[in-house]
Amino acid sequence: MIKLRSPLLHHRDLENKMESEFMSTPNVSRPTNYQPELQTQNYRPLRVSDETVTNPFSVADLDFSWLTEAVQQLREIYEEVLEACTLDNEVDPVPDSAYHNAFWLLRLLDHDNVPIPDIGWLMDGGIGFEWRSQNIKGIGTMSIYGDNQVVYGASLGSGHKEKGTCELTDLVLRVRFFPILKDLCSQ
Amino acid sequence: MSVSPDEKLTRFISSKSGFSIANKTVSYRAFIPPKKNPQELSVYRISTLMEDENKIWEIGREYVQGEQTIKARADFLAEVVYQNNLKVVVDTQVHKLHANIMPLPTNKEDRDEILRELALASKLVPIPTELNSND
Repeated sequence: MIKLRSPLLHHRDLENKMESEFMSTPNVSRPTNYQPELQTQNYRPLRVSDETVTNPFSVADLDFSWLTEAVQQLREIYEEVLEACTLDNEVDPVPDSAYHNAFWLLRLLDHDNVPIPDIGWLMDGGIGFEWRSQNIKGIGTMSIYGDNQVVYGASLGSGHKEKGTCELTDLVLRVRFFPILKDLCSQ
Repeated sequence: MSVSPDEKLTRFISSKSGFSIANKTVSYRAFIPPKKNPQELSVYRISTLMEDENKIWEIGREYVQGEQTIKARADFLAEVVYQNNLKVVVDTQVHKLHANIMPLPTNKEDRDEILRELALASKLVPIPTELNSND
């Protein structure tokens, strides 16, 4: 039997290749290249000088126990998709770029103290993150297909809904959607 | 033939990604349609079978299950489908209780919004251990 190598690196590889292509998003401008002047109702304008906004990959902040868990979850998903594609021709393979995007996003979520989502694969070739409120009446999701975009949305128990599609590096995620996810998880 | 809002529908789930046993919840991932038929969601009408759960699982085994074994199902009322401006279209070609929820939006942003509502409205029913001997 041919043993396929997972695109996900082993933990020790991660440590060695922290600043390698796996930690960055191929074909995506990293937040350091992004220079928005975003003004929302609740937030002051964000500038490129904002270290926490522009550099989510500070080496000093890396939490290896968290990284290990995230990589492990993605690796399990990789194996499941591989098996599902073999057994069911309606399941679309998840491209390697989706795993890369997912990992990048997980790192960002962790940096912003958003609770780790429930992670799974999508039948149409993506990776889906899901959060539920403790009272089960709220739900937040992110769908990732490897095209450097995120389809996000939430339905809060109060009837408030949010949805959108944006680039991985779009600050809308961090200044608008991540706080909603935090609220959702604390409900 | 129309499906009344208080009819119970079920979607069979073959993937672990489709539900959480720990949280007892159905994931929006359980409702993602296949790429080749992105606007239809296959379900079964189970209101008439509620007194005999085995018959529901039998449908799953015989008409839905392929190489991947069914692990759970998501039960919900047709009402939530109508609330999201979709239809439940009876499709007896596969089975007399089969139906399709349609038309799901092709835009993923709008589609996922509906799938979140379906997930919230669903009750998770894991397959009983005695029927799960294939795993």
